[in-house]
Amino acid sequence: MTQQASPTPDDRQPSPRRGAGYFVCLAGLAALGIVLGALGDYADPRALWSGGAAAKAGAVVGAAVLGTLVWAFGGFLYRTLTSLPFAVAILTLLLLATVLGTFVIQGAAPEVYETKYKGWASTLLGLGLDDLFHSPWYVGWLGLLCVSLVMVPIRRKAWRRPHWGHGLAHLGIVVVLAGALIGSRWGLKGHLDLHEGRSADAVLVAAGPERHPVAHPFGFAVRLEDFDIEYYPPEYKFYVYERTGESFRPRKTVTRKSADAWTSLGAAGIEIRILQEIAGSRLPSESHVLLVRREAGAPSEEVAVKPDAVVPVAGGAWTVRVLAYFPDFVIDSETRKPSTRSPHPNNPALQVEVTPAGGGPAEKRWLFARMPEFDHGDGAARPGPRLTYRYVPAETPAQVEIGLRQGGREWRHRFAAQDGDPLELPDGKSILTYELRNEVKDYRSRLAVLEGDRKVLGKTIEVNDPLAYKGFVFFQSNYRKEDPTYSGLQVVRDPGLPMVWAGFLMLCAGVIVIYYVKPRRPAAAAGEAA
Amino acid sequence: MDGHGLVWLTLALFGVTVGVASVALLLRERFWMRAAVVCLVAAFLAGTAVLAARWVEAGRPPFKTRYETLLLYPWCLAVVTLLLLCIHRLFVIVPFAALASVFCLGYGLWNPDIELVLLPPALQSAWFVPHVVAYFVSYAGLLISCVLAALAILNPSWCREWGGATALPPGGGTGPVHEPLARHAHQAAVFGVTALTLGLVMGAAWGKFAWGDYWSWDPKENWALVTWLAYMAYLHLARMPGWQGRRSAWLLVVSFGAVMFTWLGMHLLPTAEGSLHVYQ
Repeated sequence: MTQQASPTPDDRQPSPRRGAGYFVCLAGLAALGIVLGALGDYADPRALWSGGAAAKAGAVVGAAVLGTLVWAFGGFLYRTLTSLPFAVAILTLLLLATVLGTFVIQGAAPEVYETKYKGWASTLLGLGLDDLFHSPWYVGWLGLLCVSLVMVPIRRKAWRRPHWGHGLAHLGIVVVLAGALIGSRWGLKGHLDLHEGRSADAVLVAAGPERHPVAHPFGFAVRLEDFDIEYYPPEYKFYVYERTGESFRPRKTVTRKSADAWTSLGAAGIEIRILQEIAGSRLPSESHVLLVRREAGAPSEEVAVKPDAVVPVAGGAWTVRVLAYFPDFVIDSETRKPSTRSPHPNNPALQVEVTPAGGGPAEKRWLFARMPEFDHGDGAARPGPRLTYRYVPAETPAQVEIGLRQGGREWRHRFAAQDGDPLELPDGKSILTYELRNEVKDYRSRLAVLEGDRKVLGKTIEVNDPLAYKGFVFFQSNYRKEDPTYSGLQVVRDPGLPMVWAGFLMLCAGVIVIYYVKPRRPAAAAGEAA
Repeated sequence: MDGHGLVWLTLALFGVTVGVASVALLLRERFWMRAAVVCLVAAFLAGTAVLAARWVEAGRPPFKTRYETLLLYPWCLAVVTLLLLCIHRLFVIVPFAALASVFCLGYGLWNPDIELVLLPPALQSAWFVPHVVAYFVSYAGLLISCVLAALAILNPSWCREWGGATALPPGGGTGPVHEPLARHAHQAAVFGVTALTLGLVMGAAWGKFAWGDYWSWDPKENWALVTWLAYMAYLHLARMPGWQGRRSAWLLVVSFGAVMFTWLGMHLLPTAEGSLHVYQ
C-alpha cells in the first residue's frame, strides 16, 4: 500500500486552467450532443446498418469530415481526449443524461406520455427522450468515451508494468461496449411461445425501423417435452390493511398458527383467535328456506320453498307461493323494474305471495337473503306470518370462524376460505381479510433439441439455468397460470457475449490492480499530483 | 427473543455506541473510545444474530426486501468500521457509522415487513448473496468516505486526535481540509468503488443468466450506473490540480446522495412502475 506510481502525463502538467478546461470540454461535448441530436432528426443512424445508398453516402461524407479533422487537429484532439478534464466532462454528461433517462419512461406508446407528463409530452417526444439510451447524442457520447478510453492507455503507456491495471480497467469498458455493439448488430433476441409436445425451429424477431417481425431459423428444432410450475406450500393468513387516503396499506399479518390463541391485530387493541373450522359442503342444487313465525317472538319453523310451488306454513294458517327469484337482485335503472345483475347468487331475493288459508286478500312481499330483517320492517302492522329468507347455496366453501375482542367486548365473524369479503374493524380505518398465499416457487421446461428427427440434446431449464446450443441460448421467461401446458422462452444469440465477459473481467481486475496491487497514493493528498 | 426484539437490541447497542463514542471524542479519553469499540462489537454480534435468525426463519438469504437490506446495512457498516479500526485506528468514524445504523434500524422497525417474503424464481441464484453483499459493503465504504470527507471539510477540533495527525497541509481547491481525514476519505471511496464495480458486474452477469440480458436500462440499473459514474468522475476529478482537497471532498459528500437514492429512493421515480428491481 505504499509504493508510489510514477507521475502520469497529466500529473506532470499542472495548470491553473484545468478547471476552465473542464468547463470547455463540458460545453464542447454538450454542443456535439446537440449537433448529433439535430442530425438524428434528419437521418436515423440505424439506417446505416440497413444500408440505404443515401445513408452510405452520408457515412462516407461523415468519415471524410472526421478524417480531415483528425488530420488537421490530430495532436489537439489526442491531447484533449486523453485529458482529465475531458474524462470528467464526459462522465458528467453521461451521468446527467442517464439520470434524465430515469425520469422519462422509455419506449412506451405516445399516449402513455400524454397521460404521465401532460403538457411536457410533446416536448419529450420531440426531443426523442422516449428512447434516450439509443439516441444519436447518447450513443455518440458513448462512442467518444470509447475513443478516449482507448487513447488514454496509449498515452500512459499502459503496457508498462506500473500502469497495466490502468490499461485493463479502461480497455475493459471498451471491450464491454464493443461486445454490446456486436451483440446488438449481429445478435438477436426474440420470444418463443411453446406448448407441451410442440416444437419450433425459428423465432420471430422485430426488425428494422418499422419493427416488423422476421423469422430467424435456428437450423434445428426445440421441442417442449414437459412444463411444470412448482408452488410454495399454500397458506391462509389474516391480513390487516390500513386505509391511507384512497388506498389500503398492509400493516400486519397473523398466521393461522399464531391465531390459535388470542393474538393482537395491531389495530386499536383488537385481538383475534380462531374459534372453529367449518368444512365446505356440496349439495345437488341450491335451495331456498323460509323461517316462519306466527308473530314476533314466537318459535320459528323452517320451510323449503321453490319457485311457483305453493307451500302451507304456520300449521296451514297461510300458504306461500314463490312468484319470482332473482339471484343478484337489482332495480333496473332504465325500466325501474326488479331484475338480476348476474346469474351468481350475490344478492338473492324472492318475491312471494302470502294467502290466508281461510280466504282473504293475498299479499305480495319481497324477501332478501342479505337483509333478513326487511320483511319485519313495518312491525306489527303487517298481518300474516313473519318470514325470513335464507338462501342455501349448492356449494358452501370452507369457512373459518374467528373471535375478535377489544377491551371487554367480544364478537364473532366467519370468513369464507375463498373470495371472502373483508371485515371492517371498529377502529374506523382498518379492514381484516383472510387470504390464500399461493406463490410460484419455480417453473421449468424440459426441452429437447432435435436435428431432423434425432434428439441431440435434452435439458430441463429454469430461470437462472438456460439451455445453449449452436450459439442460441434458451432462457425460461414466463408462464401462464391459466394455461399449465404453456411455457414462454426468451431466445438470445449474442456473438458479442465473450467480449462482454472478458471486458467485465478486465474491468474488475483492472480496478483491483490499480488500487490494491499497485496502489497509487491518494489524490486527496493534495499537491502531490501537481 | 423474537426477530423484532433482536433488532431492537441491536438498535439499542448501536445507540449506546453513538453515546459512548461521542463522549470519547469530546473528552478525548481513550477509555471511553475503547468502551465504544466494545459496544460496537456487541452491536455487530447482535446484528449478526439478527441476520442469522432471519436467514433461518425465512429459509433463504435475508436480503430480499427493503426492510431486510435495512438490517444488512448496519452489519456491513459495522464490519467496515471494525476493519478500518484495525487497519487505520480510525476511531472518528465510530459514532457516525453507529448513528447511521441507528437510523437504518429505526427506519426498518418503523416500516417492517409484515410477513416473510418468498423468494421469486429469479432470485434463487448463486449470484444473489455476493451481488447484494458486494453492494452493501460498497455502500458502507462510501458512507464512511462521505463522513470522512465532511469531517475533512469541517475540520472540527474534536476529531483531530482520532482521525490521524493534526497537520493541516495547504491543500487545494477553495480552502484547506484535514489532510489525513481527506486521505482516509479517498481510501474509503476507493474501497467502496472497487466493491461497487464488483457488485455492478456481478449484477450484470446474474441478469444475463436469469433473463438473457446483462443490461436492460431498468431505472435501478441506471441509477447503479449513475452512482458508479459519479464516483468515477470523483476518482478522475480528485487528480486534477485545482479540484483536490475541499472540492473533491465535497464531491464525495454529494455523490453519496446518489447511493442513497439508488438504494431507497427508486419508488419516487415516475419510471419505477415498470422496474424489475425496485423495492415494493
